[in-house]
Amino acid sequence: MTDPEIVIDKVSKVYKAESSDPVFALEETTLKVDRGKFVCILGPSGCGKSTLLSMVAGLIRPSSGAIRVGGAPVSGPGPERGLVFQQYGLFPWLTVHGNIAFGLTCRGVSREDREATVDKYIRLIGLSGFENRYPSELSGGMKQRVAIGRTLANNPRVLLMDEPFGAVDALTRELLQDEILRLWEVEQKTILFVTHSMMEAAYLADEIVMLRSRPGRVFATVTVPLERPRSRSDLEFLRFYSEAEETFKMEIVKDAASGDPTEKILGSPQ
Amino acid sequence: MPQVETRQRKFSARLNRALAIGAFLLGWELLSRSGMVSPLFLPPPSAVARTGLQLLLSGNLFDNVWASLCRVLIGFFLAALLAIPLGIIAGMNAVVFNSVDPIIELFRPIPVLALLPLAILWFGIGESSKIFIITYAAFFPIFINTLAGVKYSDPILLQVASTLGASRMQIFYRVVLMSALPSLAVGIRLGLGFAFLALVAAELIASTRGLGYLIMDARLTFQTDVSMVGIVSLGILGYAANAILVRIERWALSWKQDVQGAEIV
Repeated sequence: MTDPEIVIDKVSKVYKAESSDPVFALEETTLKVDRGKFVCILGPSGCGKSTLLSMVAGLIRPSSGAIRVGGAPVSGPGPERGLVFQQYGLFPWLTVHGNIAFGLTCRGVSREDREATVDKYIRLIGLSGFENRYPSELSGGMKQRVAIGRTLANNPRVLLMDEPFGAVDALTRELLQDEILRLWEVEQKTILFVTHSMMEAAYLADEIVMLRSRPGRVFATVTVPLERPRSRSDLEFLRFYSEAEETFKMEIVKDAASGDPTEKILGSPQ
Repeated sequence: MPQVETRQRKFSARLNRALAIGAFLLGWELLSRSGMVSPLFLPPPSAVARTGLQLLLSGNLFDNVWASLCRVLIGFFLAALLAIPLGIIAGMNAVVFNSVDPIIELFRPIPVLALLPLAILWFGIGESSKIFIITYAAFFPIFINTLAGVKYSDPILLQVASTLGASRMQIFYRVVLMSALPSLAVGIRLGLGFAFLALVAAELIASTRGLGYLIMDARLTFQTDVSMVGIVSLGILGYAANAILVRIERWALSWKQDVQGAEIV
């Protein structure tokens, strides 16, 4: 057996405020992701799922514990861990071509290799003919394709995605979900994907890691027993989805009932 | 045919504007020719145009325009040379920001005209006092807008760059500077406007050349038409300088849709 691609070893994150008690963004969490797997991290807002992803990306330092990717400890951001943001994060002054070339240019890849790679990924994300457009001229779905292409062009070991389809409409979201599955199969990457939608997680993931909030912690890890390619209208899929959603909601409600008073007020429907 | 329609609308808008200017000039002409206002105080536009042509042909106008233009450009470039690097450093570094910001805020509300007497005391009535005043006036808008552009660059873009493998230097000149450009452009245009304002003030008070001098000197001898030529020349100069900056801005910031789409200067 080979080592897991991502190892999150007893990692926690505490924010110390000067005036109040320290806030646990994430309680001690241990997680292993095997090479080539598609893992979704699912949880309500405030459960620390984005914090966890940012720690793997190296943008935030864990308060305790260690993270290893491909056997190497994470000590800061690096191109071997590509991160895709919900807000796209495209450089508005660069064209589609310029955005996809950004990482390659920074890392000093030769012009020839760079052009070939950029062309390849523009084709792969289906944006041929849009090379010279600026981000302000693209739809939300196209922007996110560019962001994904830009990350993949850097040839990362793992792809970290932070609610990447949260800002697009429902129809585009489904198209992008199919798109990312296609890219995952072509590129054979390990993907860690943060979402708050069970439907999205059930459709995409090999494994779903469920978190709950205040303090954020993992309460269940579910292997999705569905064959690929999956269909959103398939009976098996819907059965799995509704059962998983049920379990998930029960936990969240439990939290709301036993949580602090503000949570109760905010969580109860008026 | 929507394209034809916009062209028609553009044409009728231009005609509208031209007619308004024409009506304004005609009203002015009639006002001073009818004797309601003495032509001594308000010479008709036709007389101003004639005087302007004479001054242009004699080379007198050009001398004064040249003197003013040199001052304003030297002062403006000095201001940019000081304000842009300082703005960038203060935008990047909190210690520099906290040291510089209170001093800037102390001096900023002081109208530049209040400094004029001291500037003359320090630098005399030669070129240096005028350039000092112009540099001083243009410095603040350029500094403040550069600072803001650097300081408030989108944190997401900085994170994206670092996860894509950019070094600190690369993040600085490929992301921070680039995202500060629109704000910097605003500062430069404001700075140029302030520079013109300070130029005229400095020339009105103590000068032997320049458009401000021309306006003041002609007034003392009741050559109102010459004063008006000076005023109109300043207007044209300021408009031209701004138009050039707008051109450069559109070229440099062509990625910004609102800049590309902007029709009004």
